[in-house]
Amino acid sequence: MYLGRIIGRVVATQRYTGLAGVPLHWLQPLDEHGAAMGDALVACTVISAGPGDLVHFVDGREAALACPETFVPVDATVLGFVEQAHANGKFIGRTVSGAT
Amino acid sequence: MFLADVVGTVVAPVQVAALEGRTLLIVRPVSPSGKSSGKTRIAIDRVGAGVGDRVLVVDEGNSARQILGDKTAPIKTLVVGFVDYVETSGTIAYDHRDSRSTIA
Repeated sequence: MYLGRIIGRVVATQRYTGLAGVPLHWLQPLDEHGAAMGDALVACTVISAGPGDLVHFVDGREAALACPETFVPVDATVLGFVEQAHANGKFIGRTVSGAT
Repeated sequence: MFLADVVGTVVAPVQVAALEGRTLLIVRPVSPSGKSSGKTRIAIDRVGAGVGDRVLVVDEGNSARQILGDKTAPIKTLVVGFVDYVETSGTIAYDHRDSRSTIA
């Protein structure tokens, strides 16, 4: 699992049937300093998260297990809101609902 | 499995049901000598580790689900061990007993 921040929405009307109704978001993985770690990616969301939220997500086969339909072609899924994250004694951030 | 330093904590009150009540730690993969080696992850704690500890992390779903006894949990990263010391080429690369004050 990784820390990340949702930075946008992705709308794909036509998609694999098992993924109907699962929101897609543009997600930036973060490191322990809260800085971007690697490239942004598209992830399924199984919580009511939106742009600006600090979240944690899982990649690989487990991403599909988190979806309502568990045999779907998915490789990243947002699992939960991160209310607070601390590392090296510093505060990394918190969920900011409603931010851009 | 890999070695990692626990560098932080995560508070996540709203998340998928399988993760509820589980302690989440921010872990930074490290080489035996303590250099950062790989992407920082969030791991579920199974051994009572805390910030500053060097731990053993498994990042593989089937193992994680077996340990947790939940066949459908979307979980793959677990802290499964506590490192006492690491020896490479006959020398002690890390010793928990003299590390407590050195980790930022």
